[in-house]
Amino acid sequence: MTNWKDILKDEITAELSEQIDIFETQIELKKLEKIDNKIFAETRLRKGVYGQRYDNGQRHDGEQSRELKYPSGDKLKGPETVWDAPGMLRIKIPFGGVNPKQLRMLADLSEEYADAVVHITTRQDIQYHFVHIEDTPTIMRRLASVGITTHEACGNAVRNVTACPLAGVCQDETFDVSPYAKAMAEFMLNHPDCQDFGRKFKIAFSGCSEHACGIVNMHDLGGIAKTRDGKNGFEIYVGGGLGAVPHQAKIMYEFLDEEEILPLMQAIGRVFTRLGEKKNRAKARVKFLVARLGLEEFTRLVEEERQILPHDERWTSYIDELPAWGENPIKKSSSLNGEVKPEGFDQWQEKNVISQRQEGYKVVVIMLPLGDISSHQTRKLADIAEKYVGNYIRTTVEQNFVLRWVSESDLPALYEELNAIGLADPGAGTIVDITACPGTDTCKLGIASSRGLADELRQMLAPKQWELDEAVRNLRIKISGCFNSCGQHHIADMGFYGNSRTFKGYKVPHFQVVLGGQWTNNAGSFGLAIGAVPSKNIPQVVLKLTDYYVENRSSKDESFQEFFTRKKKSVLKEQIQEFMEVPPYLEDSSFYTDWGDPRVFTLGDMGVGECAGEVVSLTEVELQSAERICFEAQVELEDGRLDEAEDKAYNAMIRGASALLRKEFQDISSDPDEIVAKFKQHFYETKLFWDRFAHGKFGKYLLNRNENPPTNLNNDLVHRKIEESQLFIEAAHACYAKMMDIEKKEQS
Amino acid sequence: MELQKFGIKLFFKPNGSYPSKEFIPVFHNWIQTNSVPEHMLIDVIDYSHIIDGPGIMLIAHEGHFSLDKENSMPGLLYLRKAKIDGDFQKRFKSVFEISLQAAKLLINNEIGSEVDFQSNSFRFIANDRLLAENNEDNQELFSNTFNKILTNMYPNGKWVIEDYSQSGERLAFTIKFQDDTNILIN
Repeated sequence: MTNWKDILKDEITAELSEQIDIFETQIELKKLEKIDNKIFAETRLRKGVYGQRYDNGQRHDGEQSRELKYPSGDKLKGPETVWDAPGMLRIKIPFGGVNPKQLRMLADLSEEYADAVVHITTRQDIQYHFVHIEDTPTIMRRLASVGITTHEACGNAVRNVTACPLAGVCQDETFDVSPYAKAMAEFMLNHPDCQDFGRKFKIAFSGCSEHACGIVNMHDLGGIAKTRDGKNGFEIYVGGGLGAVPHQAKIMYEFLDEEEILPLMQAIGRVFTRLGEKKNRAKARVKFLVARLGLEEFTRLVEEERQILPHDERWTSYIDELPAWGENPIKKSSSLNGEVKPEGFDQWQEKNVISQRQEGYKVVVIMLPLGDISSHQTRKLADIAEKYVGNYIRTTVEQNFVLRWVSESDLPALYEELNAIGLADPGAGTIVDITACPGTDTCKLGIASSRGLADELRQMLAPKQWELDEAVRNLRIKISGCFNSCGQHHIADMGFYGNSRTFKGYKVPHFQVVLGGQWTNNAGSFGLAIGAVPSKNIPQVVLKLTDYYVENRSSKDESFQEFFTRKKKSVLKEQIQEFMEVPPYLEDSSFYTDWGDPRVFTLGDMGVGECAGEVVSLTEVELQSAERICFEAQVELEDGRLDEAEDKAYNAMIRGASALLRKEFQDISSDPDEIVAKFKQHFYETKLFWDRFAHGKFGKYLLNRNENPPTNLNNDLVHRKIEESQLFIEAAHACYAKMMDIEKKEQS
Repeated sequence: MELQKFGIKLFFKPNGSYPSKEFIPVFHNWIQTNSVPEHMLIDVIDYSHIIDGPGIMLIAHEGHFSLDKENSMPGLLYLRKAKIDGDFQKRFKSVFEISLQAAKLLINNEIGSEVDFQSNSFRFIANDRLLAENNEDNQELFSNTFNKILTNMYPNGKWVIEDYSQSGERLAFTIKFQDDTNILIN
């Protein structure tokens, strides 16, 4: 036998095998140009086969934009996506559960088809990068042979079902949510009622409401374990999500019987399919449907649908098996008593070892820098896991692995074995354990280098972590490469998201500083941006803000999040003001590059002579002014003046639109309606303002607000309006940069 | 022998400075100047934060170059992905030649950083578990094949094939010359 399909045919379930065969046929049909690009793109996305940066065949090499001449020529695998261009493959790991056999397969495949790195995502998935599409059916077959699927890992489908990685061993949980997450993942996989969504759907489970492991609040559907009258059930949340404009999930049911969670999701799937937005992706998540209908009406429709669902045995069949669910440790429980502790053990143990509720057992957190582990390390980790814990490994939303059921007396030996392969870095769950999305490394949407910044911060903070104030040490930093929030910056103590600013005509990578987010209480609150800082100044901002907190907190009991919620936004902004300045290129050219990437932004466009110029356009000044007004909106919100806050958020957009119009026209009206009309005509309808991926979404924020001013303001709504305003201003900056590029091209 | 996906690792000299982040601009420069013939160079990825990993990688359509640190054996690894016509000997020679060209480019880097390679050894890595499973039969088969290829390439050379990869890893072994053969100036 000379192909994996024949070799593995008896090791793959018939259903998975058929799905992969179909996909392989679709690849062949696409090669023959018998499938439309858009349809093939959604097809491959549903198989977890995603695009990657530069897959449009263009890349700026620091001097000029160059065509990447792939051998496949004009052949595409989706709109503007070249066939031969390397892509990403996302692999679903329901509730993060993975065993040594699966780890070995993941290691092998990363070597043979990717870049020898296994990357853990912020939703417990695993990703490979630099994969060729024609290798994907084989990868899928080999994964399927160890019980792993990529099916519906991307696309408008039910994505990976996540759960607290401590479920089943946690001291605080009500009960183990793992089997429910597993059942949900299996039930929803390829479910016919969930094949026609307008957008993705994410589900999470948590064992308790206090801790954030499940981050239920930011999911489309979430369940927190509850009991009532001795019976298991869930507090059900719906309509949450991060993305560009975050939404806190709403409580749909304070208690729902365990038997009802699968039919509930099925009924939601039907309502979402029927009534969810399909044309405008920007409004297509279920959070928008819940907002549009209202929670009460949404719930009524779901319940109506539930009543007419044909009975499905699978709704409850797994519950009958729950008594048999459980994990059987391979080692007897024991206590650490007099064992020789290797050097570094105590520091590692302090944060990387968590006591299970089962006496004598520990959970060990393996902190992975940037969520990366090499194939070689992965294989060795599989050996170590097999030796100490057997099958009980999980991925985490903080991009780490955990080993469960470690017998306490094994900790020193385990530490030494992990240390030998570089997997015993201390400080899990602290300021050095930084979450970052792929950003500009591989993501098509990335604006700034989230991984580059994360690596820089990690290197700066790791050596001094023991000297930091305990409260500072326990902070979480999360970084996204753009506003889309894959790095979950909204729920960090200190969040950053990438953007760019045009300074004297040239682009400079920046990060927005987001403060006030809450990781605890299942992502209990979302932070707000306080200002954009040049990427190269972010490390100093981190030090400044942490010092400011330590020096000014009311007491040692005041948390970072409480402190920054209490403090006036204007005072906070003052703290970072000095870091917001960009030096001229000739004074410090490093500001014009991103972390880990020596390519100067638009170097070819720049020219050294021009860089020395001091002319700042009126548009730039007005865009800065728009940012200021948006910031003032936050201050108003903070003081509870909702009307004023919303008004300023709108005015900030008006100022941004006006700034762009000023670039094109000398006389600009001060009447908002006229500005909006002119913006619509010259920027929105011409698509000049459109984002390449978000299309007209950000422009719509202004048009919608102008047409339909919001009524019945509440804190959440105004919070969202300010987020929208900030995103409009980001888009205005991008649009201005685009206009400058066009102007320069025309001049040359 | 059908194997197409394989790689060559040229070891850095022990105790020498291990090239890492400072070589990111070097790889970017290779892209700007199309320095590697018959390769479409795509991007540079920094994996230096992984202690036992691929280090700094230069991604190309035809194969990846990396300043690899795996198994505490740092070196320049070239892993071929795209097919090469001809028999295995021809394919091996092509991949070996590309590896040597890359090594020379690395030595002559424009940042003036010293890079020194071991001139008497290299590692062969089969990157296809279907066509080259790591087992005793294949170890013997590949050893015999390499003895023939090396006899052809270095008629007067003396070498040993050693350090076979462990079970579970890709089939790999190191060829170490026991005379004054210098693979870098063939």
